[in-house]
Amino acid sequence: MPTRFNPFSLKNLRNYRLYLSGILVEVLAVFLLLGIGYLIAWVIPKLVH
Amino acid sequence: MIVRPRAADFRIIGLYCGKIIIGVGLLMVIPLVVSLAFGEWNAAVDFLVGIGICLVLGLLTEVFCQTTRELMWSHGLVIAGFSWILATAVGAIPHWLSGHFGSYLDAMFDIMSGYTTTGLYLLQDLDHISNGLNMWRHLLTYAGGQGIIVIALTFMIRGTAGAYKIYVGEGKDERLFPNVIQTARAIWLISLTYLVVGSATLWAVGMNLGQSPIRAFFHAVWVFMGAWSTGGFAPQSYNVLYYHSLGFEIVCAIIYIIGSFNFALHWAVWTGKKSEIRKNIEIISFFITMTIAMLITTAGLTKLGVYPDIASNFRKMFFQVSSGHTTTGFGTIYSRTFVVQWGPLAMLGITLAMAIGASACSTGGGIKGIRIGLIVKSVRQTLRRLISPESAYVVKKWHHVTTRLLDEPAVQSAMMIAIFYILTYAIGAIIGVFCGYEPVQALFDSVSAGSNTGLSCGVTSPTMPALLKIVYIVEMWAGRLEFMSLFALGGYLMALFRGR
Repeated sequence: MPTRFNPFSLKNLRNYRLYLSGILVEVLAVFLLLGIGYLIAWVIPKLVH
Repeated sequence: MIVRPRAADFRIIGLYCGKIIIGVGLLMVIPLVVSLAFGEWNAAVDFLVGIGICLVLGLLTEVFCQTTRELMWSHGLVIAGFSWILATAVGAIPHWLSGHFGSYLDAMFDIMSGYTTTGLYLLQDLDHISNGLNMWRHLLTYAGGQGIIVIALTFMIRGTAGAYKIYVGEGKDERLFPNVIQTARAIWLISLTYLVVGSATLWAVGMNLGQSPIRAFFHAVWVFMGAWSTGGFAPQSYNVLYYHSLGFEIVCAIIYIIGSFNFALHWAVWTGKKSEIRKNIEIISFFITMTIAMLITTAGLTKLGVYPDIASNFRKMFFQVSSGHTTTGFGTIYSRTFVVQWGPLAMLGITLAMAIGASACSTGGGIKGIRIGLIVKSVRQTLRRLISPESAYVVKKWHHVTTRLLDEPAVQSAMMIAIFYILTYAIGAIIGVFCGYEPVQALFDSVSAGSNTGLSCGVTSPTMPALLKIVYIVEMWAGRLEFMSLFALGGYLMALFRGR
């Protein structure tokens, strides 16, 4: 019978992989936002002038 | 009929508030250790006095407020509201004793700003305060970001039935687990993991900038605490501008933007639901409103020709807008630059971002992305109903961890809280104008206080009128607790005088 998944267990290596991939996904979302910001800073001056 | 609170009601409120005061006292041990490590004896004595007063007050409540009465919803809300005021009053003792404040009110202003993760401050000569006091300021903001009650739940309050009632009163109504204590532990797991990863990254960047390892370490930990809790405190008066580093700014932005996400979203992503990041109503709402705020701010900056090239335009605009939207309050420009260079349109772009704010159940403040998302979805549902045949049944769904149907109570509650926020911002701005400040500037700082952001265009200073300091303290407190506990306290006071 498989053991129950315990997200708090610091002995389970799978948890570290999960946390790390979670952090990476969140950081990627921020980089997407940075890209949108750069696009705005590039396009708006061209439109205004 | 309004029922007048009995002595047993006050005893149970006193008992739990006492536990929270003891918690504040125990938290002061960390800055005390830092002061001792750096040989800052005066600061160490200030913290010892603070710890002593907290422990004496807490133990007195343990002796005089013992009761077998069960905690009710109204008690929970009153405890959540009142404990923040008490924690502010006792937390200000080391600040006041440090001699860096003009009055006890100024010290309380800074403590409330720290707990509520606002970041406005009246402290004088920030660049020369002790390391212990700096640790205390940043620890406050880190603790306040998780929630004072969450800390108490984790370490001091046994049993979950009563605990949940206080937890809700603090404006965090998400349960990551059915058990509220496990929810508090999950919040700590996320925050402490980011504390290690974020501080290590900032430490490496700081040393690369030429700081000594010890100085870089403390700056990294403090700046992380200010960023993750969306607090905005920094160890230098120039805030993040002090570091003059694009790398440092990008790491800060990553930390505070992630810090502004809902803890339920973090937990979902961390436990394998990666698609949550693109489906979640708050993330979609945040991306859209952030884009709008960036468009307005960039238009304002471009119209006045503030920055000559794309890179500096992006660097300054993105940092200030994202800092405002996540209600962090970090800045890479001087306060008065908003007024003398950026102009009213760019300031309104930032004001809009601050007013909307971060995600619910995060360390951030403001109206919150989930409410904006629900209100917009409700407007779209109404419009679709108008253009559909009369017999058509229009259903709208929204996604936050699970997919739910858009129902009337959720929209009503979102609208009600949004209206209270707007009223709070407006009242603060009107009082600011009454005190002699320009309307755009008064609105900017009022929204900053009410949404717990911390950006200032120069209104907030030790020389501002005492009335405005009190108004901002109330705004910070009300905004952080999302009004519910405030109303419960008001109701309790009314019942005290008019109840039977």
